[in-house]
Amino acid sequence: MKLSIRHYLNKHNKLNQLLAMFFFALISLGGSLGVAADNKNSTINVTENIIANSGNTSHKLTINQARAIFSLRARKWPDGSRITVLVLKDSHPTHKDFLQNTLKILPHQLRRHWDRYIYSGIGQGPVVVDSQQEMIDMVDRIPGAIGYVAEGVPHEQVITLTVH
Amino acid sequence: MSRSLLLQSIKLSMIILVFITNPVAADTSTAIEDIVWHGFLSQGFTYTDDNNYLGSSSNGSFKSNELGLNASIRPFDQLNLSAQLLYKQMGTAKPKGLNVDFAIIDWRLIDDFDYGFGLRLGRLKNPFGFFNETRDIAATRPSLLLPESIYLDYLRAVLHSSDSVGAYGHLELRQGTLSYSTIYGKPIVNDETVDLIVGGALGSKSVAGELESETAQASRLSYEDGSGFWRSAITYNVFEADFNADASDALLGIFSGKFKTEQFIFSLQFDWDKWQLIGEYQIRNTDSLGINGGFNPNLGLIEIYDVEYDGLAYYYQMGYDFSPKVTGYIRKDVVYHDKDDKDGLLLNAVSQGRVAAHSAFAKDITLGFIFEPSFNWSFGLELHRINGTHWLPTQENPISAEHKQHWNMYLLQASYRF
Repeated sequence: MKLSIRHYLNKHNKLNQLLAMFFFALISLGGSLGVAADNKNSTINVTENIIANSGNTSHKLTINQARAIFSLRARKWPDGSRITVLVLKDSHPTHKDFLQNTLKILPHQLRRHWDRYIYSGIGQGPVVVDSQQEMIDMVDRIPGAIGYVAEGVPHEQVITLTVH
Repeated sequence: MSRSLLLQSIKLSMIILVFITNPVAADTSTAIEDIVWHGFLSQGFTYTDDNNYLGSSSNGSFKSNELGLNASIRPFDQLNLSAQLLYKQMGTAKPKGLNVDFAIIDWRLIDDFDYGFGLRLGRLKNPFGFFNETRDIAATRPSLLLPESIYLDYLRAVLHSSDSVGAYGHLELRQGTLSYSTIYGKPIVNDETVDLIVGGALGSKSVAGELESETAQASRLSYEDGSGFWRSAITYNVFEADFNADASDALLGIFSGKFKTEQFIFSLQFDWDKWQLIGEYQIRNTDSLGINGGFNPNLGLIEIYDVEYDGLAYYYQMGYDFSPKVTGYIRKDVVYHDKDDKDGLLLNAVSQGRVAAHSAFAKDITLGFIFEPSFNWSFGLELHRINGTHWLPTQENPISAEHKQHWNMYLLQASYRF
């Protein structure tokens, strides 16, 4: 079957023409939105620190271990204690930067893992907090907790894990 | 059957356990506070120029919606309990009220830093391609409708979940993760499913008989690159049942027999910056033994025969993120009832013209946009240009002579989740 525009318009009614125009309009709108967003996102490179409860005995993680933890596959620290993953909202700039710079993973890929746990009943999602201060407080309070904060946010009460 | 009785009672006790603990009374007990709640709802609007899909869509239909609420708790490290209630309306079929969508006891036996293994029991979601387990949650789909070739919505019940036992595991490798999931149990079958399975191939008849001793098994092996740049999966799935015909089914040319369908799915996805490429390829071998028959005037008796066909389905979709909130995608989705009869001429001839050739295939070109203003909300619109009627449901299109080979479908959808 040939699918030329002429063939399409000849064969179908005005509704289709209108819809086609609507789609083209949307594509252009989407395109310009995308360009606008690109300009906004090209900000300076900030790094983030992975933080953990001060009782934690692991001080180093490989990048794949960090990914396994934040993807919720790894559920226990090597010493056997339960891992509690704390994250900021998906839309939080520090969350996006953390995924991009430290975990080097696209946000919707991590979200895909979480959604599978949450909506197919095979586990629980991460604990979502509203601010970096709340993140630090909860990591401090919960043994085995892990989270992240932007560089420059003071977090003496918790320890920093290095990723290599 | 004692196994399904056992499962029933496990499910029931789980539902009671999870839902009796009313979240309103939560402030006193720590155990109740530990219950995590999530939910979703969506409403769709469907318009078709010809044929009907998801309701009487040729007049515009709102009969596609879903509402789900789930709860999960991890009382101790090895054990996770979860259950989800679902209300779903899909087309003109009677809404079946609230259903237990899943109810799972998950026991993690091995929980090492680099590998894990566990067992599951209850009503489980079947591992099947990339998207089956979360197919009812709009935000997890790469489009409004999943590709109908592989994720046929009207067969959702059978494909989607089963009362079963399962095993799963994962292994962290140097560059990525290998995962495995398998289930064995009893599929969820309802009256419409029986029509689709037994009556479907010969022009969709309303069958009075029932399926017995149904079993489902599904296994999926998947690998995902550590950065998420690509992922792949192989799924193997078998559905088997005995069909016990009612005396009246003989008038439709349907008799007692055995039904078996076996499916392989190969799945591959690439994500690169703003681009996304998804493809899945399915081989579906179906054996219908002794179910179909008809009066043979030459012999003067009823002849019963076996029907075997090898179906083929695939789709590929390319998506582009115009911005973090706006995604557009285009997809080609193709299914053949029998790969050796792609144009349906044989089917048409064998049925002496009763079954239209265009019911043997469906080729769907889809263009869509999804706008996600926040994590919770998502809005989408989708245009389908379809050649063929293979996945056109009989319940919405009872008169097969009126089926149109070329048709268009327009969808709008709003959804919310938390």
